[in-house]
Amino acid sequence: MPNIKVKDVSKYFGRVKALAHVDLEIREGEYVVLLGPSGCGKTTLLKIISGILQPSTGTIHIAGRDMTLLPPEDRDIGFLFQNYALFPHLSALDNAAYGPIARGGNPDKARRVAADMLELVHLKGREGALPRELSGGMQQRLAMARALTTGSKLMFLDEPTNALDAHIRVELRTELRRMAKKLGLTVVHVTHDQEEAMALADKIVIMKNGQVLQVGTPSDVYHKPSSPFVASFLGGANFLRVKFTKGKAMLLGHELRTKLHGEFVAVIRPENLRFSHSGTKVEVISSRSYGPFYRYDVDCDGVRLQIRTTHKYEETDRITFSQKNVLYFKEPEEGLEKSLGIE
Amino acid sequence: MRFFDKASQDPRWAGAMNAVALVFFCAFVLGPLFYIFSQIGHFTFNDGMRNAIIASFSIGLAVTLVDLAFGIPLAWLLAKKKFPLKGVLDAIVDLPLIVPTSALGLSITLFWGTGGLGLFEPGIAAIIVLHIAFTFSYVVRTTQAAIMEVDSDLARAAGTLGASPLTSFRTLWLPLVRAGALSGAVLAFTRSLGETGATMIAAGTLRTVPILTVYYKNATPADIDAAISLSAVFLLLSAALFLLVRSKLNVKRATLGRVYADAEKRLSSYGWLSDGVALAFLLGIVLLPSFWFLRFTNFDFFAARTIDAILVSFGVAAAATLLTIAFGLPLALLITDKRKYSWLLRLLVELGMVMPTVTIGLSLSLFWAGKLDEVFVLVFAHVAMIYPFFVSPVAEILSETDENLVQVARSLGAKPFYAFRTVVLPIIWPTVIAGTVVAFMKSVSETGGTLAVSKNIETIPLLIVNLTKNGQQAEAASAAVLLLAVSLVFVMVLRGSQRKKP
Repeated sequence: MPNIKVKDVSKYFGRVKALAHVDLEIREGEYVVLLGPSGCGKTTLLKIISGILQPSTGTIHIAGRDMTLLPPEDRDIGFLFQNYALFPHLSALDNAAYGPIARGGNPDKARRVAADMLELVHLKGREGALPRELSGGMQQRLAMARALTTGSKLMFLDEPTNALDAHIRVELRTELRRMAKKLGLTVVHVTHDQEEAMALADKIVIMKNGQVLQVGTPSDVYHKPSSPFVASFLGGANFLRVKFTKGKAMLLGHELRTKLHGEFVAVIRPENLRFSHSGTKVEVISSRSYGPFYRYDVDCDGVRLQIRTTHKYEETDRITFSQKNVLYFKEPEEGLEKSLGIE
Repeated sequence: MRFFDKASQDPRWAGAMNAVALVFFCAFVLGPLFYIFSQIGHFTFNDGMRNAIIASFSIGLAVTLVDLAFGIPLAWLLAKKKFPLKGVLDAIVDLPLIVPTSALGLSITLFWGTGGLGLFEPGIAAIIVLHIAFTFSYVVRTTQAAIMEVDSDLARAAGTLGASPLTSFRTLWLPLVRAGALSGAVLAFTRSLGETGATMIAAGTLRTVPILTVYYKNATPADIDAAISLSAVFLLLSAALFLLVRSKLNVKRATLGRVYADAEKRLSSYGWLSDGVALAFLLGIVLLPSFWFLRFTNFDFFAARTIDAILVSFGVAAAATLLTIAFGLPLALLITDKRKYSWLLRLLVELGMVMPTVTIGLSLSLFWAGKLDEVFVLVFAHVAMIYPFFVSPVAEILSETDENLVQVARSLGAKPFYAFRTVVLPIIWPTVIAGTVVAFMKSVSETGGTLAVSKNIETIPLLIVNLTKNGQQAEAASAAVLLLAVSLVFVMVLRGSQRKKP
């Protein structure tokens, strides 16, 4: 029963701290996405959970067993590498059959299981091909099939769609989630692509600088981000400084009424700003059509704002927003700009 | 430089350069090498020759197998593991290569014989341990390079699929580094077949092909026909074998066999044992015997005869190496130019590696007889012998270099020669220097071919052979020490320039 508990895990590479006191719980059958900018420690965490790396401190329990020091070959897992790591000298069939054979299984039987798995990932007919003779998408599916033939219910994916064309990427995402749910897999998936995270995850884990910032459903982390960084990394956001006195403050020509007092950072998502005949006057700096929606950069009294709307900007040059869509954060200790930056 | 950059746009320039490279190759390397076969009066073949051929191939095979058995674990240790003093270990693997082969022969026969352990006297066992000493690093180095080229995620992937370290070594690493290990083995095998000078010291009464060739040449009256016949048969056999193995090198597909998971897992925990055995082999069988002669020196390192011989050796080696670079680099470019006949050119270059050095020496002395001063013949003989060792690796790295880089440079306005010296040369520089080191050291330590060519000139390997023959082991050992010291300094200077790219 894959049920993963990561307890107080830290990892140092020499003097560099890659992970700091990470705690995480993953339930059976969950599709968990580790999301963060490059260098945030998400791949390190994945490799520690799967046993490829060992933590400097802390423990990993899988299905109630302490597996912190166990090598990957004894953990009964599947791992999909970023560059797939397909064995270049083995046919697609032998690649897929590698796991069962390496565990001492009968090679013929293993190849039959592998052939079924290749069919499942739509690679029937390419059994004899060497990895370099397959397209990028096929290589990705072969790597998936290889990880699945071991029969493991625990799957680790390290940026699995990175090397693919944009349209194949979207297709494979759907396929990944469909397969995970169909086979009842517990999946830990690493990505820096927030759209991919939203599309796939039951639970998103947002990381930065070796720390977990927030854990929650896609809708939770999007609508209730725990910090300005999470808000900006997931979907993008406009940041405005406001000062409340007795719960009242002015923002873009609106009078805000809250129970807050003092200085805050107000966050408004680009899609929560809209053009209207009443509201604050702005100057449109640039506009792009993305097909289903439009994106505008506007200037409002020297403050640069992003607007995302399905309605084309017409005659009016005023914008407005609804108060219930505004989030307030205390100014981060290291300063707003620094907290948003990615080191 | 500007002038050459501009001139290189003229297609005649490239044509002229190719022509010069080809003419030099044919007139000074290929022609003299194969001249010997035109000098045959009548073909003879006898039982002595057959036995010598069998002895040579058996020794070569045994040497290669031992090299592989101990070289692959050592390569693994050097490529994949971290341990204290690894840098030192990595540096001393090639040390036997800088000992002149004649000194090596002396050192190893002393170590195993009466001067040391007293285990065996000159004979087949002595030849085998001798040949291991100067071929071991070929296998180690090529395998090590092949291991380092393999994406280490592959082994991690195998681990996540349940493979124990031994299983992934067997099913992944071995097939993936096979080509590299085998190309080192081919090099080791051909070196073993052709080595003359040191083998003479270690052979005792046994006659390998090169030794029998020397015997026929020195017989009174010289039996040149027998020497040529033997060389011809031997060259044909070696070349056929060389081609056969080369054609098998590039098989890129393997199938999985059965894995005995439990046993392999249990064996995996004895990895330290294989590390220990490989290390012990390197230190006890390869390095210690190679430098055993140091014990016998009389500390008279600067005898006048030694200094003279050193000057001659380094002068000849410098001239031969410069000629090789000047005319070898254009030929390497020509080989990688994807022309119809470049494979043939490459083959002809590599055939020089298979030829016993004594045959090369014999052929060259016949070819240049009476036409040139002895010292020039010596230089050209060395060119013929070291040429493939420089051209072959440079051609290899050139063929691996991305052609688009030159195209990009050209599209940015670089003239052909400018693109070559600013883009291609910096990329291939480490290999050019490595090839130069190998070529130079081969020339300095070459014994067998020099023996066949020189009558009055004494290079330092010849000095060592002559002193040994006279029973002056202490003097020979001292001469070897001086040569070793000068060679070490020289190699270090060259290696330093390997990091400084032009």
